[in-house]
Amino acid sequence: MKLFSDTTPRKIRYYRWLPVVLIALLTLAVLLIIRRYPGEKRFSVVHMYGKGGAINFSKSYQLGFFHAGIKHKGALLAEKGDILGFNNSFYHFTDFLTDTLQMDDSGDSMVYVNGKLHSLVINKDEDLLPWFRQMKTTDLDKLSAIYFAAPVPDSYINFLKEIARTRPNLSLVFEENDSYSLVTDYFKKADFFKPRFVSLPVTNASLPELARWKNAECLYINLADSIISSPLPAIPSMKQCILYSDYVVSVSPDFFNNNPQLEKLNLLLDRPFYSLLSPLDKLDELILNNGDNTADLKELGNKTEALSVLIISGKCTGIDQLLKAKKVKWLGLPENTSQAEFDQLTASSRKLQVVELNGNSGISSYASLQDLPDLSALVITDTVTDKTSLASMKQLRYLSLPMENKADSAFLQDMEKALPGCIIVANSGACLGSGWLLLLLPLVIAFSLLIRKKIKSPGHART
Amino acid sequence: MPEPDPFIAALNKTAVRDALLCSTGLVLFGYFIGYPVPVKLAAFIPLALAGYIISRQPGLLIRAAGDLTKESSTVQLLLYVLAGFLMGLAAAFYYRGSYSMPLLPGFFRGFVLIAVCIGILEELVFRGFIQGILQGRHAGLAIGIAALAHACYKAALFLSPAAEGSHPLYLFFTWSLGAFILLGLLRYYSRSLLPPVIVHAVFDLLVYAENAEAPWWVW
Repeated sequence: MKLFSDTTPRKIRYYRWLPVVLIALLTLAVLLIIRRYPGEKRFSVVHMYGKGGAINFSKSYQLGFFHAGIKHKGALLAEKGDILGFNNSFYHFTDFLTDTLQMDDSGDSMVYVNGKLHSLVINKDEDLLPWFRQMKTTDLDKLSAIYFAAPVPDSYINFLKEIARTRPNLSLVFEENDSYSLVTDYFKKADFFKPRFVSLPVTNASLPELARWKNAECLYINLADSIISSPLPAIPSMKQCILYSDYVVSVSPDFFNNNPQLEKLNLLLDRPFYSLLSPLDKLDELILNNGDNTADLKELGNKTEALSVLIISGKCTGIDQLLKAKKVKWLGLPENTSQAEFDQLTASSRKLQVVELNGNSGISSYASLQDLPDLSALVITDTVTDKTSLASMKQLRYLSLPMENKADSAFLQDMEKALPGCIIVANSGACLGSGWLLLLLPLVIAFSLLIRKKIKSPGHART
Repeated sequence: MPEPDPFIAALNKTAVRDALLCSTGLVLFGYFIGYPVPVKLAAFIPLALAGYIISRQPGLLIRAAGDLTKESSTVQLLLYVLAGFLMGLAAAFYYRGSYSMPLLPGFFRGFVLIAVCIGILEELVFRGFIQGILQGRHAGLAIGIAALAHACYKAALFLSPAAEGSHPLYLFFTWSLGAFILLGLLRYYSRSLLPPVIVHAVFDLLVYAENAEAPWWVW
């Protein structure tokens, strides 16, 4: 074989066709790989510092706030476009690079994120006029939201107009007010913005007004009536909707008929209202919070087959229906999931990257999670029932455990030692060598200089 | 029969010894660097040994670096560079896809520069120095020993107690060895270190783009 002899120009000439063939084969390989892995999702760990609790409303599991990640306080998992909450503040997560958020909501009228003004709060007790009067454009660089807790004072209107010129797509958040509609007040006085995210209370009568939010990509709707008989108006830009209510008992089955484009839906309701899902053929993420009721998952039908995120809180029957969710990557399990159902689900959903469990469920062994090749994040609420398996899950990059008492705290520390690879980053991988190897270059240079000096010095003959 | 490179022929007597000593030093370094201090400090002794061996023949490393641009046919080199780029791209896409990550990173963080530097230095040492020093004796053996040394060094990083069980070593070693043989072949046929450097740099650039911090074994 020619390869096993000295390098010769002649042989290289013989293989002149080789790079061309290589390029052709590798191009084909790249195309095949692109075809094999289309549209993977990107989940990030977001660190939120500050006094309080953090929540990802877009992917909430049991409406739990994250006070304790294993490494960082208030670390949670999120995807681009998710709506994060910190105490009463919202944060529209749109920039992967800004994944460490130092929250400061200690003031009554302003919320700061990473030292920059993030939200203005309009309320009765605080006068924003002095700040408005000395406001500079640079102050608005990171302004992302306005929170309406009271009607807009007339003296603010010109300043709000000025802010809208600089930051037209600010998120708008309207507090629920029993005696006065803050949304109506906004439309009358300060309808200057084109928000991408709006959080607002909505009555059955005020539903048609939502059509005015033409640019909204996400709506967080607080249903203020117990019976909702009207459908949502068409909002073509809306991809995500979070429905919240403590007491709604009836929602019209055609609620989403005008918005079949919806991709992410979170129903933070006491019951599932499966009929709402019928027109949503493009649904990719579904979060169901069943409250204290027991939901029958059989009514989901085939809706789970195409989902990449499926999070179900509360108690359910027909949990085996989740076996249809073959493409799911983020799965939150009902709290009454049995060991047999858990093992079946982990065996059938091989693409799982994130699993959320209620520790009080009938799951006593997490061993089957070790067979999931892509699993990188695990969230356990309530009680950890299988500490042994957990300690051997070296593939984890994010782990959130309950911390109620000193024993939990000690266990967290044990886990930190047991899972040294559980660093909270987007990914790690095993292909990179040690960084200390970079020392080799200065070592080589230093030794070369020393040897040269030694050779040149008197008394040393050249060899 | 063309004459062998006189520079390389002159190195033949000590080449095998130096290549083996340098490889052993790097493997020992890889094994001990994962331990906590003070054992970690001991890892720098074999690293220094490897550095000393390389420094005794600095010409070869300079030659290897010189290879980055030296090629009789610029068109041939450009074709191999393109092949290297595609190889790095394919490997990184496959890696990211198999870990359920989007094929292209959404952003690049500062750490990626260190990752790329580590990759380039590995190529200079294993494909440049070790393969280069042995190539004059036996081209196939040179590719094999350089790849084996590189794979052993990588595996040694994950043999330390801190890394116990974090990666299935057998598979990792096998895949690494296969990949490094391909890089060796690329260096041999292209007669340049540039294509394997490009492969490694592109791979590290795409795989580590989003890392906020170094994986635990890097420092």
